[in-house]
Amino acid sequence: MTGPEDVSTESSDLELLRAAGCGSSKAFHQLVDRHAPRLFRSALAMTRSRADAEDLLQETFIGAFKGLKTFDGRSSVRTWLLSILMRQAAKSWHRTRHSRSARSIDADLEDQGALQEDSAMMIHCASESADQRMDFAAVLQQLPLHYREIIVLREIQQMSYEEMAQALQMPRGTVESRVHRARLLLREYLREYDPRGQSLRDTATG
Amino acid sequence: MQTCDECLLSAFADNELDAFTHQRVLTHVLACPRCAAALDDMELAREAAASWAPKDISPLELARLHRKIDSVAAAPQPQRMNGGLGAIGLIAASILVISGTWLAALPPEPSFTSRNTASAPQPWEEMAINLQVPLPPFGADDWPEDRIRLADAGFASWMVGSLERLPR
Repeated sequence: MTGPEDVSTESSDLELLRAAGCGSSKAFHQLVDRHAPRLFRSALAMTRSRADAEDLLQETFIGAFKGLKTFDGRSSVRTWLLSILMRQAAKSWHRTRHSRSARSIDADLEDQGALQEDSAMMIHCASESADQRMDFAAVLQQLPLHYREIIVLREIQQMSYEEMAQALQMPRGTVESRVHRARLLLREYLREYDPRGQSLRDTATG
Repeated sequence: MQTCDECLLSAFADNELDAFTHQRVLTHVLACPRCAAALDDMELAREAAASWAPKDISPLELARLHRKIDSVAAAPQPQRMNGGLGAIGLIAASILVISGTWLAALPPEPSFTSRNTASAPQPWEEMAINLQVPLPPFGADDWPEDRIRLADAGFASWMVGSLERLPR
């Protein structure tokens, strides 16, 4: 059996987690290095700023550290970490919901400073007057929380429906219908940036 | 898929259907322009998400994360009670506290003297016991009108009189 310090870069997630549960900080830090980049991307999609994303990521890993012994092995470590991230994001969202004002997509465009610091995917949509730039992350922020979670897990994390069901602790059927409704809504919001109904494929930039 | 079940389209696009259902949906999509267009739209949304390329976590941000974890690990952890015994003890203590509070709030038992006094009928009780107004039999429809009125009036005046005699 792997001891607390018998971990290497080749150790599996499960081995690292078990070693961390036995007190190996080295193992936990290795887990962090392995999963933080991908989780950070999801955190960025779930929050309004890079600073918030960083906070969310810290809360996620602190929650994982404190709950090391609660991991039951029924899902992968990655799924487990993502489920913690989603729960923390939901907690944070509920904490701040009263201080949030309703924002339209246009309002977000006018106040770019409140959005991601880096320029994410910018989709140029030709219009009669001028090019309209759209930040995909800003569009994502318009989605209700439960649809945003689904889009993040499916489109950004590329999880299977089974994994999403485990991460969100809901039946697979619910995942299927939510994926569909989330995409419909996302499609509507993306269309708002191309009122002439032009195919986004023609205007999207890589 | 004879009718357009758009919900299946997402699962189809994600390759999440079993082989049989996948084939059925494929056959339908090839024949249904509406579903084909919906699939196309879905693909665009997926591409938009896939093309999103934010800046990765920086070394500084990662270092801050590690430091935060170390500080949490180094913080003294609160002593946790031995799970089961602690919970039982807590429940027992709660029951004792609640019971004690409830018992203390109960009104005192009436004394022997007051019970004796209460055993003697009150004036309104005597009146009720001795009330001579005959009441109509249950369900009687043909009782004389005047006797019904008398019974009702007597009962009503007994009620009012009793209320007036109650100590204020």
